[in-house]
Amino acid sequence: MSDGGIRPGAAQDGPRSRRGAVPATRDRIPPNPFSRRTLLRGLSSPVGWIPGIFLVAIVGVLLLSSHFQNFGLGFFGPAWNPNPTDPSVATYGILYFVIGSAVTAGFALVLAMLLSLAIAISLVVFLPSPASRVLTSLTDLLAGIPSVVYGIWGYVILAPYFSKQLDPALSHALGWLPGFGGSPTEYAGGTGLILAIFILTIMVVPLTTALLRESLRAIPREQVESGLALGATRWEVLRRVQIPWARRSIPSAVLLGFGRAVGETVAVFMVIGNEVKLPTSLFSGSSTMATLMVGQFDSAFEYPDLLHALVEVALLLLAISLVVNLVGLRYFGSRGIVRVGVGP
Amino acid sequence: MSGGPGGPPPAGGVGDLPFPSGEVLLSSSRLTVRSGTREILSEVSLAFPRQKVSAIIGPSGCGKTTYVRCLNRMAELAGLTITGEVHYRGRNIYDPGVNPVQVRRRIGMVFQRPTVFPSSIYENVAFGLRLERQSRLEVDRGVVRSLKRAGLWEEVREDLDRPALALSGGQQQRLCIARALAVEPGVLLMDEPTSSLDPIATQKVEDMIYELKKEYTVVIVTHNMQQAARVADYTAFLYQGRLVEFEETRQLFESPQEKLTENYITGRFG
Amino acid sequence: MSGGSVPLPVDIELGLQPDARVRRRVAFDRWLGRLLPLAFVAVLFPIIDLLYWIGSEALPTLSWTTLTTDPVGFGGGLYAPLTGTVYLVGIATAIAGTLGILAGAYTAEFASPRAALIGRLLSNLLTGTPAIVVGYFGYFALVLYTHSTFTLWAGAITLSIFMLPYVYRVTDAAFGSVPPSQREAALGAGSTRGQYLRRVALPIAFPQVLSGLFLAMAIGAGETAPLLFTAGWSITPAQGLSSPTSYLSGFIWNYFDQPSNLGHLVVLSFQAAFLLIVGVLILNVAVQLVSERYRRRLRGFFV
Repeated sequence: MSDGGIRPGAAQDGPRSRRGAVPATRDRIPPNPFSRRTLLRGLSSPVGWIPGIFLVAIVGVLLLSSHFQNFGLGFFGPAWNPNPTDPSVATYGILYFVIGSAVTAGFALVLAMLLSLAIAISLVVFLPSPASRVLTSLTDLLAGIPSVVYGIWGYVILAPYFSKQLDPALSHALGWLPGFGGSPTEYAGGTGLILAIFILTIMVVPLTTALLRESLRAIPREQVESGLALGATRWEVLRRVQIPWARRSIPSAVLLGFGRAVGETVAVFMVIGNEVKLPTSLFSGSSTMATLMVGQFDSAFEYPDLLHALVEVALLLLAISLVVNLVGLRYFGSRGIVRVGVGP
Repeated sequence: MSGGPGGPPPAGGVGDLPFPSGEVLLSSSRLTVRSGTREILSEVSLAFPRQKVSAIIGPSGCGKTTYVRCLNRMAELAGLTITGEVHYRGRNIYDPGVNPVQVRRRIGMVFQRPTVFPSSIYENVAFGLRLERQSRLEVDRGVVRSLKRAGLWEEVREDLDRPALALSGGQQQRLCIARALAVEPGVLLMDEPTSSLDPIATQKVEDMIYELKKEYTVVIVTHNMQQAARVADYTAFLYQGRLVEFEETRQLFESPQEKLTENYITGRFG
Repeated sequence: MSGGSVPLPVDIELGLQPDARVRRRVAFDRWLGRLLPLAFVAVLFPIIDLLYWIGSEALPTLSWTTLTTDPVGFGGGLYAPLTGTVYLVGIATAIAGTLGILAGAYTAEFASPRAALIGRLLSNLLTGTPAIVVGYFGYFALVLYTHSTFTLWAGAITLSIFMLPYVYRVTDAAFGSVPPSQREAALGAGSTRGQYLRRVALPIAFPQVLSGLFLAMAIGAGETAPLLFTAGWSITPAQGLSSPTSYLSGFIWNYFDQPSNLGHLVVLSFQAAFLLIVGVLILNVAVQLVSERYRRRLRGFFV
């Protein structure tokens, strides 16, 4: 009998199916998609698996195209030195890109989760229903803005603003914090980690918001009403009934959001500065695994070693996104939120 | 707003009452509820005496559930338009200065289906007490007191930490009642509390209601006329959103004043 | 209370006047209700800035000739990228639509629950696959291993892989949400499951399936990464399905940071961004309208 709050048991496993009209026998007890029996039984019906077959093809073709040659532990080292004239001295260490990906996606996700928790809670609990409906549509629409448009906006409008106003101000105010102590030369162009984080945050918010919102909404109405009928305020019902019920969706939203952020290529490439070095502050130009893949591809055409290295980066990125999505989808499962392009 | 706390009940609409007007604890006057343009309730004026059980009967769709949900401001959550007044201890609960949270603390509610939270039995009952940030001791006391009042204590005293969902349907419903009682409301609204229960569980809940009226004022909605006859001191008959008759229960069932009531209780429709 | 009433046994204040603690709780709730929606400002303000900026850059110089001429020298328009995007998205929609609807309907109606779960899971994983990885796949499978060059074909097929899971999931959900009464009635009347799908389920689910196609088109139109290494780039219209093509997102990608003596290309890339946003938003609004109407229609079945 500790601090109150409600602990959902396994029996009230998260949101009910959105497909309320399906014959009850068909998905009353969804089988665990991860069990071996499920996997074997399922092998018999390929038509429903067309999307899955493409996924397998992607993994297969990338594995086939990678030669796993020069990439022992050195692959995760810091030295990225492609050398077309003398391949024997070339080194392919992707540490800096891994760091770039982790920093941009990580920070963006923290910010995005804070924002989307506030937004999802507002939508589900606090806003009157007409406003909530309009704003729900609006946040869903944001997911549709193409990545390349965020990129050009970031490059043309935000980069000068960051370099002249925001970066100096941040450095001045927060310079004592590690990561904010950059020198003016670093934010000269405005592109860099901070701008990439900013753009990524805005791009991830619609997805995480939709996930959190739908899992909060999936709580049976009677539960919420019972809480209110006991004289709890809206916030108290949220904290003691809704959040415990939807609790498991939060780490899932984090993972799915991370998958989205770490794979984002085009917009990040346009604003991150694309420098191959260890970032010394958040103002530094940097690169991520995804921007590396797009930025160095042109030079890899006639240059097999580099191409193989890039394919291995692609495989690593694919593995990360598969793991992250697989774990994240355990909660949202096949019920994924399909609406308006923000779906896992 | 008519009459401060402790003032006389409003005259408006509450006509001849089958009990002295000084006994009124909760009353509605000209309560009208609309969903869009459709009128669900039309000018329903009713009064409920303290420490008695009042039943509201009527055929499905007559608005009886909506009516009780108006009595503790739950109806507005569904986006219904509510006009008219509901007075609790002489004060209109729909006054702008009155907070629904406070209203719901004073006027508790039990729903059709048991809506236990997916936590332990103890935590379910403690829900309302924890909101008040009461001390551990007070919470413990409140939980025991409420479980005893709901007649559940003997059955669950060894299992307070077990999940509430492991209880039977009847026990769950009594747990919900205990949970509502824990907040110490003055009135307990019950919306068809036994409609999902078997006869034995129903019997237990009815026995409990009988005990409850020693301390509480109970308003129970039911479509089961026998139940109304068994537990209620007063009974109101609602038909198509209007109040047809409100009488002492025995009076209403034995010699109804209105033809409509007679038709309904003799089973000619509904 | 008027005289003669029995005092209540419960000896606490039972009125509607909240005590200090309740007032604090309610006040906290109220403030939270005002503070949290401010997060909308934090998100919507940048977006409004983006939309306002792109509108003010693109609209004054946008004209009919922009849409009907090719970029040449120091002028010209967006005819080539616009038609390129239309071709790419059109072909990709045809492919993803056919496969996605087929697979989605199969999953909803014929697949065993386990197979359906696997199908959905794999499809969701495909949605989560980074666009650039799909682009790499397209390059190897459709360009390098076929000893071809960058082609419109390769771009469209790669794009369709990216769009496929959206069509699939929406179709699956749409057929799955057809009221069971309809299904029982049809099967009970002796129709086969295939007949039921075509004659009963499809008309009911059609609007939702359509919205899935719109959704996929919106996603396809905005994508850049899967096309860069498959459709290649050409500033003039494609010479056929087997040659590189121009497309709107590629135009932005290629010219957004041109030096100022090629400023007209930068302006054109603003206009390309504007066209993309307008097209994608129209498609997304269509998705929401169709879904909303569909939901209302479905409600009719349950009353």
